[in-house]
Amino acid sequence: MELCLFRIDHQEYALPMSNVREVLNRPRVSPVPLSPDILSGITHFRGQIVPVFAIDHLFENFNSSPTLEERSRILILTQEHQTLGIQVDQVDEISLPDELGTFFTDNPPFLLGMALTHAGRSFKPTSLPRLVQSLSHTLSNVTLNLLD
Amino acid sequence: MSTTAPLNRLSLTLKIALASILVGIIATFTTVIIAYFLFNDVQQKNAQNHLSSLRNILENKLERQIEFLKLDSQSLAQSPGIKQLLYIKSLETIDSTIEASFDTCHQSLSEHVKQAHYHDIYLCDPNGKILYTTLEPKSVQLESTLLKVLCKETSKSRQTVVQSSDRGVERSSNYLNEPVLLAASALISGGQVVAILIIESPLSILNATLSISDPADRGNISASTEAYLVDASLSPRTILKKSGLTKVDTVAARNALAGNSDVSIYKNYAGTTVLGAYARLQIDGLPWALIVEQSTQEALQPIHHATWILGGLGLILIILISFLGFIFAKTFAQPLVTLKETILKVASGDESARANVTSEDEVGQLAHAVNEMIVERNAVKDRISTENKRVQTNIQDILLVVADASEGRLCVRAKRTEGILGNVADALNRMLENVSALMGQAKNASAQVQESSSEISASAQNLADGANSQTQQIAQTILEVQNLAAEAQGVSENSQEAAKAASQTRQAAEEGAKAVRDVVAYMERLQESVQANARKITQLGERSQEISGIVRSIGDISAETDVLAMNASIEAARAGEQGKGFTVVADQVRALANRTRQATIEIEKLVMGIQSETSEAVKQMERANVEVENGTRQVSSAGDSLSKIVEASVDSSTLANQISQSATQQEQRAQAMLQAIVAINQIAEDTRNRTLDFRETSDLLASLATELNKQLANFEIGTDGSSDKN
Repeated sequence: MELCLFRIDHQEYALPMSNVREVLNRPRVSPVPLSPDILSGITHFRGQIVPVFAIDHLFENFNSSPTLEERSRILILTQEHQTLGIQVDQVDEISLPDELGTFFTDNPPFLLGMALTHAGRSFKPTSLPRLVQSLSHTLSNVTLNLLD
Repeated sequence: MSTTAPLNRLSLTLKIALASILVGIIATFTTVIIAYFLFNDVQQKNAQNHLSSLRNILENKLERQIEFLKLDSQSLAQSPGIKQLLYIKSLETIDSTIEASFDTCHQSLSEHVKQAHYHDIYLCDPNGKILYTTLEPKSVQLESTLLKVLCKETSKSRQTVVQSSDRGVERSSNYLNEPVLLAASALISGGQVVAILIIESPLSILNATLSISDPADRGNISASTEAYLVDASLSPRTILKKSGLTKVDTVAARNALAGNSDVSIYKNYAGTTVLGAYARLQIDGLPWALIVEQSTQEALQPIHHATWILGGLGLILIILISFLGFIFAKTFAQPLVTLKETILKVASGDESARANVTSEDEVGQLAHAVNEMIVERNAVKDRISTENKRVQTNIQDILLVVADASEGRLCVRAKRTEGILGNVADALNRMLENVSALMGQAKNASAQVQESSSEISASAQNLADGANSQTQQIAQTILEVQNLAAEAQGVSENSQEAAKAASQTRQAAEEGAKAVRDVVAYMERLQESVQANARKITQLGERSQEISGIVRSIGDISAETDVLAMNASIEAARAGEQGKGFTVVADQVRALANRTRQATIEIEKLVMGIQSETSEAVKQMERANVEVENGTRQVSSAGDSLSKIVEASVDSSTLANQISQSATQQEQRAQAMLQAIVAINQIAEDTRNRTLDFRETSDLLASLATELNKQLANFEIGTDGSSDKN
């Protein structure tokens, strides 16, 4: 399985390549009024309105999310008919992990564990369905349900 | 389910073969069984018919024989010889002539008995007294109750009576103790029964009849066939094959005596199972049964033979059908097997494989369709490989362009092609154009920086030259001032020579003032030059700001390219195996973007260095400016002092006394002035040194600009016209 590696707050994460649609550089993101901080806004992607999330709000040791000017890249992800964007620092590469081991399963729950590449880099594999589940859970109090 | 599973695992050939064999076996079995039963029935009927016809023939023969016996006795009774014999017997006396005629009659009767195989012929009176026998013609000694009963019966009915007896008429001589057949006819003369003629015949004559000697009657009846007669007391009346039996107590005998006639299978007197035909003989006085038997084993022999033959034929048929079934199965299944092997071959990669089926039926059509399908598949495969080759070529083109660009030849352009690679080529071209345009601008800016820095260097040179001459002048001033001090000392020592000295002093002071003015003018020029330098350097700082702005936009473009290449990688990964080559291209583009970003970072570092150096230079310029201003101010005050000296020296001639008083003061002032001049000299020296520092800085700036130019020269931008177009 090919993985797409990306960085958020100096941490490397990975998602299956099959979930990744495109990387957007500095797209126009319109903020949604009265929405929680985790929802950065909405953007247009190929004639479709796509929600953009700052998923570091889901992390336990989250301090303050950088603004859209500082973190300008959006990773467009798809799962079945859902399309969403997440703010990332950088998209690194597409790689095949040598080993995929689960060493911890603490927060946030969408992380699968730790993995190593052949170059010795470590990253955290992520599951998009679980990420979407976490986002849905976080957004459950908000009437605006963009993920449906 | 459990039976279909192993059936499904059988090959088609075996299935067809098994089906045809099964049908063949069923058909063969059915045919053989039907044929067996039909044949069995026919054979049994045939045997029965034969036996019953044989029984009828024998019956007729027996009846005819007995009828003949009756007729013979009647004709004998009517014959004149018997009448004559009876007459002779009734005579009391017999002469020789009568004797002779008696002998003649006796002889002819004996002859008849011998010819007809009779035992004897009796002549009795109606009461049963024997008058004559052929065996004892002269004197009859016999008394027979059997004959008496027979005579009485015959004379009563006046008809020929046939009767059988267990044994013949008893005699003293050796006589056969066997059953006999008696036929009695009455001699009627004048309406009165005068005598009875009785023929005694052995039953063995019937044996000859029943032995079925006629080949035409025998037919297929073999040696085991036996015909015999049974009388009312179930005693055999003919000689049986199994001798010594006195009773024949069988179902057939009973049924026949009861008046029935039939053909059936039963156990005979010997205990053998036989096929027998029986009937009651319709002869007066003989209530006998005629039985014709044949052992069933022999009668039904053809059926056993037929069973074996039919079984053998059935076996041969089954083997033949099995063989044919296999051949049919092979014939029908072979095209399908060939077809399956062809498809397997094609699946394992043999493209030249074709189904070689020549038949015109559905299988043949299927084979043709499969062949067409294989051809179509090969064509599609070729098309895909051609398309792949085209994409490969395009990717190679783009790779060449990317390789050229990474070596700095930005004037190259990727060929425009169809599809997503065309878009990539477009994006690459656009990026190359943007980069080359920016590089052009950077080159221009760098050239301007170089120009400006060389101008600054020239100005610094001028400044250094000015500073040198200033130092020289100041050294001169020091000498002058020292002279002045000496003069002042001289004034204090020699007040008489004060006037002269005063004028000399005035002159010297005027010259000093002039020198000081020169110094001031030089200082002002120096200040101007320093300010000009500062402006130039500030401009240089602004230029380098522009460069850093350009470099930032190059960085932005490289980031954009990185994202573009990333997306290309993602699309390539989505394309799967087909996109592998394109992933390589995207990675190359990403590497190029990274290298561009590294270059911009280096340039930015250089520009930062220029900017810090520039601001340092500007600061130094400002400091130098302040120092120069201080120097100028002090030099101006020195000038003012000199003017006062001039005024004082004018008054000195008149104020000679005052001179001596003020001489000390003057000397002190001269000393102070000397100190001031030395200070000025120090300042001028500093100025010169700083100017030299500044020159070094500007030289460094110029060399940096040259290095920048060199760096930028690595990029081949192409003609201005092409970069202007886009």
